[in-house]
Amino acid sequence: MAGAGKWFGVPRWMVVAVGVAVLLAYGTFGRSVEQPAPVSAQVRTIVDGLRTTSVYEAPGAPGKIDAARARQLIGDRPIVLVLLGTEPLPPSDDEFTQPGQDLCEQIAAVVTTSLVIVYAIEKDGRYGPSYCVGPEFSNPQNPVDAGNYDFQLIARAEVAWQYRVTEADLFPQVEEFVFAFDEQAAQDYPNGVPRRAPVIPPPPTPDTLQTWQIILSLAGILVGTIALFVALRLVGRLVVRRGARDAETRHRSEATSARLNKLADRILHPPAPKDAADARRQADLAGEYVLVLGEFEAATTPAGLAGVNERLDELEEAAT
Amino acid sequence: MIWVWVGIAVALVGAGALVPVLAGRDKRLSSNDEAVAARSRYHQLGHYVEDVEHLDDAQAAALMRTARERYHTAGATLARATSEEDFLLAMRVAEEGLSAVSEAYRRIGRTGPRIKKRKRHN
Repeated sequence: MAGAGKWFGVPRWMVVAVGVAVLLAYGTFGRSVEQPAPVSAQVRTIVDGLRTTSVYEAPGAPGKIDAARARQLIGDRPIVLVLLGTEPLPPSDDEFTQPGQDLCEQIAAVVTTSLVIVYAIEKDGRYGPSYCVGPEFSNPQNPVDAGNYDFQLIARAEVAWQYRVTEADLFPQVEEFVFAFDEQAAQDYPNGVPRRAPVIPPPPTPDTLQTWQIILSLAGILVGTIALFVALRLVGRLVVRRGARDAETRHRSEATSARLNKLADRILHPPAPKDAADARRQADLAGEYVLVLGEFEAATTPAGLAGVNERLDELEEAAT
Repeated sequence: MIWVWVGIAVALVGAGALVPVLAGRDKRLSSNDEAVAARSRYHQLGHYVEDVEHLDDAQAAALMRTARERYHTAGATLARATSEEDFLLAMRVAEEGLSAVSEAYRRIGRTGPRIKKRKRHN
């Protein structure tokens, strides 16, 4: 039974349980699943700033665009304007993409039904705009050719603003973009221009590090539970074994005590001595008995009691 | 709230680990037969040795004295007995006393206790 129920020296049920656990863990965490792209902390901050207004102005923005005027101008059109500071943006993964454009597309992935304008310091050190169209700007409720709001719109606006902007005032860029949007929207939306949709904050998504932390946590819980179980089982067995040993020692002590009592009766009531030597032998026996009694009272271990019993064997034989 | 669940889980694991082990501790006293038999022998012996009359036969008197000693020893063992082995020891001591009584009574021509041959456990 013990040999038949084991694989590699481990009970079969345990091997099967571990195999099932590994398969479940792989099915849960091991396979790749489609999940939303992680949102960076910068994008999360910007999107939070756009929840109640169409313009987000970062601390340290150079002030080349009047945010209050831009907010008033854009109103509830499906356009969001992001005015970043003068800190250079981190380079994008694609070397042919400007950092501002990359950030713009990340923001558009969250505010999906809006057009996005991002002002930031580009690679050449210029504070300028990047434009992009939200991936759901054209949607079943408001079907439209999104291409009309990309390059064409920017080109039309650029023609209009080129003689209006100065190095210190870039507000006409925004203004002409909005006017160009209105012109195009009037053609594309005969039943009314769509309004800006409320911004829904992106859900937190676990990254790879967090996934491994979850796996390690689950493994830790599993191993900890098994360790606790094994430790408690060992402690339990130790307690039971010690209890059994104590009971055995106690029983041996009782049996020895019964033998001592019996011997005491013989020593306290010896037969009349035949001669002086016999009397001396009885006295010696009584003395030995007292010594054994002392050993018995001092004996607390099975080995000590075994020694007392050996002495008792000798005394009982001598007393017969 | 989470600590309540953690506590419940730990308690369940602890119960699962300890109950099967600790439940087997009292198997030594799974039956009360030995205790009943030992007390029966002890009281039977007490019937003969508690009020002993003076006997003229010196050897019979010595045997009755031995029986009294066995009676007291059996009583002390019974008082501290917690296991099957302890009760069997007390019963064996009481039977030694009954044997002494039987021998003493035989010497003075009385019918003493009859000691049945028992199957010993140890």
